[in-house]
Amino acid sequence: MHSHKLITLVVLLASLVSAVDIGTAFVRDFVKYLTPGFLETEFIASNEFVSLEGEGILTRRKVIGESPEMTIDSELVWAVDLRQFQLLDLLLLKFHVATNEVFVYGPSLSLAVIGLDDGSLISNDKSIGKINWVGSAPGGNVYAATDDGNLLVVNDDGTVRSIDLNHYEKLDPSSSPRFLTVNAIDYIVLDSGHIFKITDSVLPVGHVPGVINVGKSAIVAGNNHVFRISTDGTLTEISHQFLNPTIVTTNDIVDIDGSKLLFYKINDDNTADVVYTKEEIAPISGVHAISNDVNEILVVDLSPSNLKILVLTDYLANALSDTIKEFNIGSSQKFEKSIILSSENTVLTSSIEDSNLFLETINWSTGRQELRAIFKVTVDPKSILIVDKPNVATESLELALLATESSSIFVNWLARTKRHLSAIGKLATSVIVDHRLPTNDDSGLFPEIDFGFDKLVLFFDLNSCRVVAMNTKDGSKEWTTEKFCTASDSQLLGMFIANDDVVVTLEQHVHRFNLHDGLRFGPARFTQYGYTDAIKLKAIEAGRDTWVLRNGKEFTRYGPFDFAGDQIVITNEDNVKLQAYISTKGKFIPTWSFGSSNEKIIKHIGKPEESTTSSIGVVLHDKSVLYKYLYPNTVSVITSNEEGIITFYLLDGVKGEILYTFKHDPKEVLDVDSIEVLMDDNWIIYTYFVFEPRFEQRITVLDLFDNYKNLGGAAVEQVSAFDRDLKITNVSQQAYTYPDRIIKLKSTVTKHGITLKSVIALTENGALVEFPKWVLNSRRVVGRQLTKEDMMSDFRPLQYEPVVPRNTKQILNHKFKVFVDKNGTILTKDTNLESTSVVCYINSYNMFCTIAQPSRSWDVLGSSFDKNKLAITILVLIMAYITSTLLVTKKSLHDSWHDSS
Amino acid sequence: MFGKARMHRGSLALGAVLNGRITHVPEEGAVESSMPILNVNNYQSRITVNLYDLQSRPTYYKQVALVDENWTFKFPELSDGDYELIVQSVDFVFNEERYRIYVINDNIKVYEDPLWDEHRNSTIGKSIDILDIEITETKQYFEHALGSIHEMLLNSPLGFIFENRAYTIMFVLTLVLALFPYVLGFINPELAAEMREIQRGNTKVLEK
Repeated sequence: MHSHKLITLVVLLASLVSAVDIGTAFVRDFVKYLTPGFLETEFIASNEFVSLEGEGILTRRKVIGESPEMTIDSELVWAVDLRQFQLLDLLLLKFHVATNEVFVYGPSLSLAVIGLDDGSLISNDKSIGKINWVGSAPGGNVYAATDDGNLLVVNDDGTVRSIDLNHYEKLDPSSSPRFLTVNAIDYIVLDSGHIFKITDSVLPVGHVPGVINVGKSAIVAGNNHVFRISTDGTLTEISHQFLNPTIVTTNDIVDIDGSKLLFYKINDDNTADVVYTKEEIAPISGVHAISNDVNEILVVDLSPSNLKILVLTDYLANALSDTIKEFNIGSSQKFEKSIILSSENTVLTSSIEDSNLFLETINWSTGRQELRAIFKVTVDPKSILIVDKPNVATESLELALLATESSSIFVNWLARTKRHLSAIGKLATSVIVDHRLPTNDDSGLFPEIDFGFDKLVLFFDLNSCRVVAMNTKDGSKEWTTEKFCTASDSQLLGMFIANDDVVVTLEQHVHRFNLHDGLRFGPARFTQYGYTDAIKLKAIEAGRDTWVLRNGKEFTRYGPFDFAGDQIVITNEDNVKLQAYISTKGKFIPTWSFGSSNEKIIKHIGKPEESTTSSIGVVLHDKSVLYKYLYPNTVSVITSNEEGIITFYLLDGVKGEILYTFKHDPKEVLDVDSIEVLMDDNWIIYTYFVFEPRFEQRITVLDLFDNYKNLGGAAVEQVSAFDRDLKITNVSQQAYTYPDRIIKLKSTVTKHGITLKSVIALTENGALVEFPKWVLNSRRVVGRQLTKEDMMSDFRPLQYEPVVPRNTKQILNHKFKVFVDKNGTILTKDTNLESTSVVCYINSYNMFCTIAQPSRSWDVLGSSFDKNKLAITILVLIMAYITSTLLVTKKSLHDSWHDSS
Repeated sequence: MFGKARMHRGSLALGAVLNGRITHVPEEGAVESSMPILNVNNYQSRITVNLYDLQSRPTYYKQVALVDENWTFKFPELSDGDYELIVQSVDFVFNEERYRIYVINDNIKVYEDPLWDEHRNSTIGKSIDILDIEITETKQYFEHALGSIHEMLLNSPLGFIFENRAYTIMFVLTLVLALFPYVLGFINPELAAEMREIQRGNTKVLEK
């Protein structure tokens, strides 16, 4: 029995330790940054690059991790969000990376100089005007060309100096000027063939016919003439007729003759001699010379899809042709991609295809060659789900326990003792034989207490045509399904969890995957063309799900079971009409409709299915109860008429009757796109941004109460919706303003609905704010001080203040700023702890998850619990106990001596 | 600077220029996170500056300015009209984050426009060279456990001792030396008595 108790104690302690670990698991904040798609990249080292991503975020990324597969990961070093600028900028936004700065330019941005190290903005002078091009001369100076044909020298601090080139010639806005640097002086070569020396003023140097290529210090003109700029700044022609030359260095030129590469050396008298001829297996269509401080390479284009790299570093130093190293680049690569040389004897080629970034690296010292890719992630907003992570170990243990459960208490006790003895045996074996403590992987030994914090966020990645499951604890990828569609048939109709499987319905086929590992169940089921929605329904079999596909007014069952008979579907037609359907005998029959032709339906929302309520009313100071209006079949609708005036309607979802309506002030001008609606418990909250009369974010709160007030606690009989008058007469309504613009809304969910509700709002500034519902209370006392009766008539009553102040302690993502877009979704999910709700936000840019505890952590020790104080108190108590024991012993001994004497 | 239409680097810039500056920047914000935070030291990039053109109904066209490393921002070429300027930061609280801007004949007047103030028009607009937006405090996102032992000690009158390691060591040593005779009385009464004897002997010697 003692051993039994000991084991129980050990298991309990282990569980407590585990509980503390889980309690602190979410304290660590994290944002998992995704890759929303690359528009343009420029590598600054073999594993670091600057890129323009998504809808206009400039980032510096570092390639991380070695993956056996092609896919690699990257982490953000810094990011500058330029999405706030106009959309036009996104299409025309470009950047140029110089030694220590990134120069970004676009129509309304003009020119911004950003520090390469930390992404800090050095300057953004919009008065420079529209910039068409920014580039560096080989010497390092940065130049910009304005839309009106001006040439500017751009200093490191972002200031510009205009170069009076217009005196001679205007820059062609459609072309990029080219530069040479000789003796630390820059020369500009224009498309017209004119060359100018750039000092404090501009001086013409000469003219070459038909420029085709500019090297670092020489110019190839026409197809066969090469000019050099000598150190004194004069233009001289090499007296040799080339075929298709490329300048490698000042004294080295490579010419193409069919499949032959001719290596020339330029002599001091400006003549050229062939020093080496190299024969290739196929005709050469182009050659490109690239160099850095250490190395010089030649990229040879053998055919449109086959590239070869020749490393000339040693050859140029010793003129020995056998020191030229050769590498082929994969045939999938294209010549237009950027190629950089790193100092570690590595050539890196990068290319963007469909916003995915492909990297091929070749190290000529080790001969290692690899192709890697960073794939774009496009989260389909229709697909985002949060589910409990299936726990195989706990599930199998529970099943095993259920299987061995007997009606006899003695048998059950024996089974438990045997299980515990076997556990201690395993523990002993683990410690003695393996010299280690068992881990959670050693199933069954210390079954982890399942607090239900482990969730999976699932989404359909439009780019890769896979479903991805991400862990909410650290944002790691749990599994991905196989690729099951192509770009042409990836239109998603709906994705949901039905009968514990992931069901993905695309326009023409339906797929089922295992929630545990993402493996496919059976082949895809093909559907007819023309469906627009997939709707999950309760099946006629208890606890089972089924689904239908909708094509206009037609519904077809594609799920495995018949749907339950009373299911109602509400759909939005042309944004002016709501139509409800009732399912009967396997068919959907239209019941009611709502809407008028001059009112556009902006939002409509029903009460969420997962909403739970434990408290059915508010006890007032006179001991009467103000009952909540908890009729579940209500639908909130917000419409806007031609004048932009919005109206709120609360409808009975069964009969279509209007239960409550509220028309906004016609003088109010608001941003209709900003309206968000939330329903839960007995309240409705909707938010909108107002332009007039004041520029502010508003939050309207409606609390609905039942007509059956003051029943004095008498039970309300269950009545049919068709018999009872469901009209609401007691609607408490109040409006608040908030300093930040709100983009999305969601309410927290707990298992039993005992815990207070919080409203999670995502602001434009990337903060997830938790508003306790008692703050957004429509029953706040207006225009007078709170009385004792007020204090007794509500939970934490407050006096009405129009502004809900910003409280940074209520920001769930703390200092982490999330990238916000309209497609993002806030997800909430209950846990096994009633106090706690998991909250996530995901879009194509990032994923953030945390826990919310609207009533604080009343059923688990919170992170603020002072363990040290507790330990010190216990120690002090033990010491006091020992000291007092000693004192008492001594005193009694002393007294004994006295007594005896 | 708020100025009239002027020539700028060869191109004609029309309208007024609104310059802004964030002032009273704290030396260094304390960052409390076990995980790396993106752009955490680049506070300027975590400030958004939006200027809404109140004339451009119904879209209310928004212009954006980036805050540079010198904590300044600029809106060039503002045409006559009313504007709403909203400046917000992830890291700092400003004395005022909402301003109403009036541009009349290329002159700019700035009014503070707090959310809770309904009487903006009674405020006198200021025509100033640069709009200074003052940082009043750093935003605190993390709640601290109140009344921890360490904090209690530091806030006590003896706090100055525990702030310095040398003082703490000296304090502990003094405390141990002071308490030692009493503690010794409980642990080893004979040794304590012997020590008292020695001490008394020494005192007597001194008295002689």
